[in-house]
Amino acid sequence: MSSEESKGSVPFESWGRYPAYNATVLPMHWQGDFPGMLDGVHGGVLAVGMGRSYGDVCLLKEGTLLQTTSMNRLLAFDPNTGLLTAEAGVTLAQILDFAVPRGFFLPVSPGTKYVTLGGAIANDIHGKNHEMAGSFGNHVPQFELVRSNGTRMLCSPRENPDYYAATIGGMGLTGVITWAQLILKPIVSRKIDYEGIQFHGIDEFLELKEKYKHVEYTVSWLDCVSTGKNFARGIFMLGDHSKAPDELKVSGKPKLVFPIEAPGFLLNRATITAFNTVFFHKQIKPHVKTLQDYEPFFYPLDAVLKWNRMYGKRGLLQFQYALPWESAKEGTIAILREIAKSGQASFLAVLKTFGDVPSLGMMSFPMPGIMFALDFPIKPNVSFPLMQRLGDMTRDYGGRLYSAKDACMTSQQFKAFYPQWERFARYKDPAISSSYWERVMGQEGDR
Amino acid sequence: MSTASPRGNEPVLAVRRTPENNLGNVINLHPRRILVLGATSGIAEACIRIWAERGENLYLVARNADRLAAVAADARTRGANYVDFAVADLDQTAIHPDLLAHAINSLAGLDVAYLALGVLGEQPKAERTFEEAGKILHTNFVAPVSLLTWLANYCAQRHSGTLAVLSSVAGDRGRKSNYVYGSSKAGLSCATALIAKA
Repeated sequence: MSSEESKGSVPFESWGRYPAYNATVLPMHWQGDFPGMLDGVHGGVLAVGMGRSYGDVCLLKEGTLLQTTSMNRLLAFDPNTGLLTAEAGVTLAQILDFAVPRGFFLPVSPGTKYVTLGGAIANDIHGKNHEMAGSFGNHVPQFELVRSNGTRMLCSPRENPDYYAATIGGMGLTGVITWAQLILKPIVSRKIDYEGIQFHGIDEFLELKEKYKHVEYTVSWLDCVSTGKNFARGIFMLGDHSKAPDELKVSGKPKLVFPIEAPGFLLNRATITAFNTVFFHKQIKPHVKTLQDYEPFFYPLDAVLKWNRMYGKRGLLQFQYALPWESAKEGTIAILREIAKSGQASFLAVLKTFGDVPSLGMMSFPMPGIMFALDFPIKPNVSFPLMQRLGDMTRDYGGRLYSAKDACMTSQQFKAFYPQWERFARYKDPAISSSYWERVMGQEGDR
Repeated sequence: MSTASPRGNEPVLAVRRTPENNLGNVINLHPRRILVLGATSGIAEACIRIWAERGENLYLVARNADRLAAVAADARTRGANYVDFAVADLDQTAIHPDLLAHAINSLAGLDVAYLALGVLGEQPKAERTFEEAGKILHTNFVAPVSLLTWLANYCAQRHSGTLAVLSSVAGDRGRKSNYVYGSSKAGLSCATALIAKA
């Protein structure tokens, strides 16, 4: 039922629009379509959803992409427990449209609601409540996984627990998820009790984080451009679901679409510095308290569809790391200095902490410590060496990068970030692959 | 879409149950009884979702059991007041009277019958062999006329009921590239229009 469905051998873009590879896109409508729909198809396949991961984790060069977005039925819902059973191609936006009027909300919300349930599991996404809720997979009690040999497996912590763990955060490589269960949580209002607090430096950020550790959602915006006394200034944003009962209506549809490719010169140091300064001082008071709808709180960028066009045809790279507490502060300061020195940063830098709820996925990204994410407009000869340096620094501080956002990590870096990769590879489906996997396995161009 | 015997939309009197009373779905105080023939077609499924969200009563018929089960589960979850279904190959016209009687019994009456069965078929094959052409004509024309004949008599006896039939622009203006499909839909449009006048 997606209007964005595409057919034939066409460029399929991820959100970063880099890299761009041609692939044959086949819509998957029914749970029983796979693997029969592949009769006569040669080469590798990969199930994909909305294409909202940034790099090449949802791409397969010259392969076949099974787009699941029209396999989006809601199969069961128990309002006593909040347990929703749905096909894997349903988006979190569609789940919210169903759940919010019934008084329920997603257990974990990423920065966009335009991702599929299957994609959320495959990337074991996280949200602003990681300290309390862990990542997405922690709220998925079971799902069905179909292998390319036709085996259909019910996966849960009890049944096929190894495939359950390999598939959560498994980047779609273990098979095709046809349906999954998700435990929604009750709400009585669309509103969020919001607070925004200015801070200067990582120490102040960590103090705020400690002070507000009882608050469910916390995230910070960070200025990565300024140096000197404004180094690592930012706004600490926190919120809880409002407890005052209020109308639970369905969200409106976004009206704005970023119209055209922005010319490359639109994003330069002057405009970005200006943006960051305006953003920092938009919150004129050092401390703001207000009641805010959940849409701008969780999904501020969803208000403008296709905002990635802002970065022009060349696209964007995202650098997103997690560092363990032992090195989190020191590493974050060192990496921020390197980024500020490069002069390449854009706006949209996000800083938050990961809690110690263990992820259920074998290859999940979160680890207790600090998480940081920043977009870079792509500049050939500059961006890629910088990403390489930042990746090496992340490795040296004992952290890891996030596959769902990555287009640059080397095979060596990947194997250092995810030393369990060999165990994971045993659960990979032989017919399924991605350009990401071929890159980090050092198999680029092998096919 | 052609309609035989159009009937004004009754206002839906609906309230949403709150989470406290354990359903959360819309309660439709006057649910319509809707029979969907060919319920796994894309257009039919989109309609079923709208009707389900309004809390209507649905009886769904399609050939593939797994697909039909998924569509029916979706309708129940979204809030249909009542969902029943039958797995049946509607090409077999001999089963139509029993199937339709059973559906109407299950719905305790009928307000709307929605006919969405149909195949595009393989035109090049249909040009080579009558077997393929005959299959297309049977599924798109003969079988719907069999269903419509029974349903029209049922509605006429009760002086109520809406028959909604999916035809195609290919039936309004035939094209060489799919003339078999087009002529099956042209026949269906003609039959539906004249059944409505009979």
